[in-house]
Amino acid sequence: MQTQTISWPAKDLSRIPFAMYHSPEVYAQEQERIFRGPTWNYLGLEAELPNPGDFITTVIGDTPILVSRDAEGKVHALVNRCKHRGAVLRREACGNAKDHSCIYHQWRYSLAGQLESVPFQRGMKGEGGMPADFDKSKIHLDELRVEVYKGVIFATFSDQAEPLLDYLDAPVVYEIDRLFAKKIKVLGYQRQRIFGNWKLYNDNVRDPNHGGLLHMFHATFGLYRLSQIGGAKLDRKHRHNITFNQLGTDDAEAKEGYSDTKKVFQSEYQLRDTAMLQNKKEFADPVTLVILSVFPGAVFQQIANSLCTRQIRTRGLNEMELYWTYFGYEDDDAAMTEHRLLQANLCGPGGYISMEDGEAVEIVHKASFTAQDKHAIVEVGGKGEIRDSGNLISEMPVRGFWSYYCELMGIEPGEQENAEAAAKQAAAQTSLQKAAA
Amino acid sequence: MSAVSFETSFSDYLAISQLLSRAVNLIDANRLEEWVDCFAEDGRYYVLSRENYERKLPLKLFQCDNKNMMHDRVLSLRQANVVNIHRDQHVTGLPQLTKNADGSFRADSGYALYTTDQGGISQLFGVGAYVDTIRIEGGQALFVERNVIVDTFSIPNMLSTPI
Repeated sequence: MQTQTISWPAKDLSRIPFAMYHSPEVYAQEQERIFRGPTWNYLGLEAELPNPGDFITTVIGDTPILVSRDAEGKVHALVNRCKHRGAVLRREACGNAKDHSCIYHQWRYSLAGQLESVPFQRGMKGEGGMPADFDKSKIHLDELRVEVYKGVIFATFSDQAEPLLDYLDAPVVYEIDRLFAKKIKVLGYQRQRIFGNWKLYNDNVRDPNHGGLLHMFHATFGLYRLSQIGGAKLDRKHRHNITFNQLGTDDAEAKEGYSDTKKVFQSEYQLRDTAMLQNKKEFADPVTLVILSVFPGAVFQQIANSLCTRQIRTRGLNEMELYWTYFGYEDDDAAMTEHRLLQANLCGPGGYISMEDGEAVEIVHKASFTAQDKHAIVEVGGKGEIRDSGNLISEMPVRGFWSYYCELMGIEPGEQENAEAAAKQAAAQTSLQKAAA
Repeated sequence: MSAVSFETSFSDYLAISQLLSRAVNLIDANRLEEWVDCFAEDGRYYVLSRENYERKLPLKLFQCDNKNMMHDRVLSLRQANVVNIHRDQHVTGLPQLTKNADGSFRADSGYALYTTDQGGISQLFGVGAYVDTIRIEGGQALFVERNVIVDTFSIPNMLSTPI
């Protein structure tokens, strides 16, 4: 197996092998051990399917999922694949239905996923049809465990997964309570195809350090600077991350901290229309930015008054789609809805402060392809123990992601055998170079 | 809807055609500051996904409620955003025109937008439709509102330049 030849020289995960972003074997294992493993995966929001019969289609990793609300109002997560020939059962993005029928041979399932009828089951005049022992009551779409918390729908393939709230842990539950304290309404969707491995985006959202360096709009117009009050909080297993900050807390420190950079913080530029930059205070605390990432593929966002979820949808080894769902609250007045819509300019594939992430992931994916025996350096914020960060100049949560990832994948970073394998690889490379010379 | 020839003079048709081609040519030439001048003083510019448009969801990809916001997009692109290095090439279809009650015109046209990287490799960035409201003032046509409805709404990499 390829994973055994990938070296993990640092036990504290301060070195990430680039091969992890490029190995097809690793990708196949991830689908099984991460996405179909004991993780809770974000599927959507209850507000997207409020009524009995409502459904949405989505994915967990590469697996197609049908989220269906039955007549009694219960939300089911079903693998969106007919049990007969394996066809996609529901092809629409969303809708309302009395049942789910496969277009191929009209096998019809209930909203809860139970097979209800097969055309010509008994054939005609004693010929054809299904055999006598065919028992449709025993056929049910593959169903996942679902937990809905504050209107957010999560599902897992695994019986081994801990209860959702234990999985999320107190700091994450606190943020979800805060963001979903009121009933929400969906304002719309955005999609962004990013040409890089899905884990590179997980690294990106767990890296508060890049926010004030790559996204120059942020720093230039003061929404998020590394000099502001903020930090990163982790759950007990360090698999999730909460990056947060407070705008307007750094007027004195900003210039000095950015003095080594050319274009990042430019105090001379002003927007002609600053309505978009206003934070209309709506939370009790002074926090103006929260990027909460939940392992393995969900992000919950507050940037001032722009609220959304982001779902990482894998599209093979070298591509992913980011699926953004923007929302406001049911009790927002028209002016607040307008403000949230205007502030949506900040995020998404065309977002002033987020458009660069697609490019950052793509260029890492591109250049690291030829460095699969080498490692990314993850030391900003310190080495050793993985812990919360008291400011934004940290990428420690990246190591948190990888620590839980390795646990699920059965990888033991920093083991002696890994070190030896790395030494062997290095020796082989040196001899190759010598031979070439 | 009656045929164009009965409600649009040839000079109006020419003025509108000139505006439509000027708007995309200025973007393709990276003359974005001048692109803003294609809009009337009360002009608006929106880029929205077909997905939201058809579900009647209000969220946009770009929302410029006034010309200042268009200027700000251009300023940020020039001074703050880090974009994928590319050039744009629009290919647009002929507009279908209808006259509105207030004397302005609605123009519907299709586009394909290709991007070319530094290595000379071109890719389809997306296809979609323009739904425009255009006013003719003193012989010159200007956008009152330009809506870009993006069929290719799973945006490859990023949407940096206006469409």
